[in-house]
Amino acid sequence: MIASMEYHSGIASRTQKLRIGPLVVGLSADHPQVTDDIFQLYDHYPVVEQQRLSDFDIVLRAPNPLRRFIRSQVQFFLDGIPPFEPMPVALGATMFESAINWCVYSRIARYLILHASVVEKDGKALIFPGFSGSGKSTLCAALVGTGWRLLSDEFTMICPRTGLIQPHPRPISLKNDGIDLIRERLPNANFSRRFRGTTKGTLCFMKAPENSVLRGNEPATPVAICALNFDPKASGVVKPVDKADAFMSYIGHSCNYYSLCAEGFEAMANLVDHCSHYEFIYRDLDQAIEIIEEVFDQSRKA
Amino acid sequence: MQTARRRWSLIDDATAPRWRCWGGDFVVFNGFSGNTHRLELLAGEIFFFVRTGPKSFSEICTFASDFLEIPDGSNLSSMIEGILTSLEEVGLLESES
Repeated sequence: MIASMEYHSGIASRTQKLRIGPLVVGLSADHPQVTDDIFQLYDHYPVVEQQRLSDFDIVLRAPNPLRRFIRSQVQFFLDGIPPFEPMPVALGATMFESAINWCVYSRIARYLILHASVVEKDGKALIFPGFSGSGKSTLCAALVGTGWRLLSDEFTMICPRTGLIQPHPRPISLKNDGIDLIRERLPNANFSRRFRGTTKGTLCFMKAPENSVLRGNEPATPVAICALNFDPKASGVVKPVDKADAFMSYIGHSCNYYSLCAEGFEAMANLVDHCSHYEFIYRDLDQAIEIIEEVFDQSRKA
Repeated sequence: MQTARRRWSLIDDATAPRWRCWGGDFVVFNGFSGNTHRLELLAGEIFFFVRTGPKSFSEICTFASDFLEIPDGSNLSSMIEGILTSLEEVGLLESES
């Protein structure tokens, strides 16, 4: 790790390589506001020597020289190609997060990847898949605030060879109502500023705890998967899910199951074999945490 | 009935399917298409019966009748015909006259 100002000047002027779990992510950004916002969230990540190969190199720069100064914009380039439309510079950090997600989903083939948050306790992992708006990031942040280790807020990376979950700890992306809910609940956690006007509304990132970042090479054994949904009118009952049902629904949460072919099937089947499966529509965070703890305790004893 | 004269087998040993069975529900990876199929109990049992070697329609009906412990009859035959057609359509089995 290097000092903050060095880090700051590093990514402002040239490519900086960060280790995020098992991945090496190259970042090059040329706008001070973008580097400031990213630096605030990533100043505690291990830095990798420039000579090391990256899993992918993210370049954030103005789409053209004019846009660096007039109504400043930033665009994500990968291998010289811009996969997304440009965004205002004020949203550059959200573009960085989207860019990493896009790269992992489209470029990483050595893990089976589920769109799911995952947290760990005593070496055992609890996975909660959920579609956008299911409240998984809010619950993930709340659990991390009670001492669970953050493995990932966005995706669960399963090693097909070992069946273990590889951490990929990154800032937790809180949205809209979830922002104040978590900020009030966890006053000592570190948060980014609010990014207004994104396609998902207002975003705010909770910084990944240092302990989770430093343990980014420590995998965990999956024991339970709890598919989530949030509904303030729900009764909050947890239902066990049959393994065959679970298997088929997890395919829908994976971005690379089909491209891994037989290896993906075996990785998914082993995951399903070794975990307990539930679906849970939660009403509020306190109830959710209590039930999640119960489910986890039962599952790891099973 | 044309179905009665056909024999069913796995498409290709090289794409031999991978599978799991949980509580009577089968999940099968189809190496031929890359798809994953969920098979109900009878479809799964028929699939694995055929996997042991090419089978005629009457052999499959007899197997299903024994498995379900019900007499072989027209209702069972039409049900099995539907299952075999589905398995053939998704590329898990093939048939020949």
